Amino acid sequence: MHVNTGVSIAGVRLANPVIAASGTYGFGREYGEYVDLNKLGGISVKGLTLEPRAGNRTPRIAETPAGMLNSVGLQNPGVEAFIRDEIPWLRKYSLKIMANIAGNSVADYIQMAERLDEADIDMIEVNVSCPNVRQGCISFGSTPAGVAEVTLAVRKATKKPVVVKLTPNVSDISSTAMAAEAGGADAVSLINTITGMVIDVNTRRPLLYNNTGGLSGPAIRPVAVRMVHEVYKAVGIPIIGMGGITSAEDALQFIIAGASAVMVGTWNFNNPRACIEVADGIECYLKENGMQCIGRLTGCLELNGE
Amino acid sequence: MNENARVVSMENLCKNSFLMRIEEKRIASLARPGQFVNVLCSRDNKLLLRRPISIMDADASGGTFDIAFEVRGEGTRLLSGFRPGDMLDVMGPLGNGFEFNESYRRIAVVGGGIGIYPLNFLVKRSGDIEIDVFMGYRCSDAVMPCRGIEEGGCNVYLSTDDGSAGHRGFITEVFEKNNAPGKYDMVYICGPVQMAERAAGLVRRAGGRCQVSMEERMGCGIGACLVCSCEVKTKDGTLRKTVCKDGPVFDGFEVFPEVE
Repeated sequence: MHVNTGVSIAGVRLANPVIAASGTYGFGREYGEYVDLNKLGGISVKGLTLEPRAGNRTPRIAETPAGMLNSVGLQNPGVEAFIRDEIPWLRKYSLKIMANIAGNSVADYIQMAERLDEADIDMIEVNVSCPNVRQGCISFGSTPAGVAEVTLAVRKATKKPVVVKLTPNVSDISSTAMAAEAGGADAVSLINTITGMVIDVNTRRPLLYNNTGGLSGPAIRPVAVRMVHEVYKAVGIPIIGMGGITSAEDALQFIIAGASAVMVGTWNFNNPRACIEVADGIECYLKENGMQCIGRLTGCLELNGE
Repeated sequence: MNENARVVSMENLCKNSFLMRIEEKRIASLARPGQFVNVLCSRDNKLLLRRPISIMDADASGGTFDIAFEVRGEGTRLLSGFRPGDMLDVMGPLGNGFEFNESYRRIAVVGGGIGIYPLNFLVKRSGDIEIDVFMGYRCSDAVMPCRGIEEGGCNVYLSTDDGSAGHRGFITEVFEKNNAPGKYDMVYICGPVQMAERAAGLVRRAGGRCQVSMEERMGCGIGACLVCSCEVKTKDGTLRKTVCKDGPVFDGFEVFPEVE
């Protein structure tokens, strides 16, 4: 049986529902030596800022049970260098390009969206959820009003599809998701990392120089799946689900909960071929279950007791 | 690339340190001194992150390479449980490695603790030239056998913090006292950051040149995640480089620009 793993999000056709998550895959060059990038549905590139950013001091990483904390702090070459040095190279591959943007201010988001509107990318992922920077970013993502403000501003600044990446560090993620939808987002992606801390008991200081960091990896997966389920009930726009995906089975949980596509992040560090293996596994699942396309799986969850 | 490699042998080098010989033809033939492999220490996903471990030796014709490590945490503890015949998932060889010029006639290596391992590989590959080896350890129990250094006919200087072997104190004191740090064509440094900074400072004051292998906690190991960042001062200004891909070896004066 021929199965079609392709998905459409805001009119952008991805060959399969697996996207490399922002911050874990750079601009694709390094992992391009390990996998055929043509076999990914897409890549969300390293979070971009208007000006180049050095990021936080090290240590920036700490391993935790079934996960890790990071506090990179958006080290990146800036949006202009991305457009000039990275897009032409990445365009040689068929995967779709998502530009992940993080601003200190609404004006930053607008300026980056305007600049990227002219660039050869497929989508803009609005990062209002990075927990590792002092200004902007997560402070917008923490409230529905902040999410709406940034989403509206970016929406006006570009005709490219806009995906808003949500933080789990809120009391009710469906309200920030609804704010993104109301602001004109074409899709939402969730979840970004959960803020955490690890303490070295010998020095009695946090292990990360930045004190806190974002928790990712399998440890956060059940939280992420639950949040995708909640957001699916609350909004009509497509959802890109992520959080600790290591296998096709993990990815399928997100899809059944309501995701149209998924992102694989931290697990790439463990297995550089993770994205490809997840995509291949999803295809196998469709074949084994006699399904021709993936769309019917999205949100097909049946709750117990209903 | 990551490979399914076979563990050939495991040897307890000293107290908490192990030497693992791994059969993997591609890595064995490509490996250069100063490079490392990123090792999955647990097959059943007990640990998410791989552990970067420097390559201590490689035998291209035999198709094997050696890594040596000290048990410090959960990853290295699990790794020490591997037995001959077990399969191991390794990515590598990674990183830039030391720069070595065939014209060099006299070099020094300055290593602290497990920093000796990558220097051992360098000593083995640098041929028939004059090599002074400075090795510093915590105590005599931690002094590990290094075949490259032992068989290389080097001038070996040893120190321990507690004086149980060699000079009592820091190896940089021996480095300063027994020679002019400027008389070498190149000084190679690997060890704790305070030691490396001090040694680089001595070389700088003596007008020599040095390369330093830096250590940092890593994520991907291939330059994508930017976790293992290192500030480097070059003529183009201050840059952030990745220890895993741009390094781990840097020009000593670029990572320690204002030593003393």
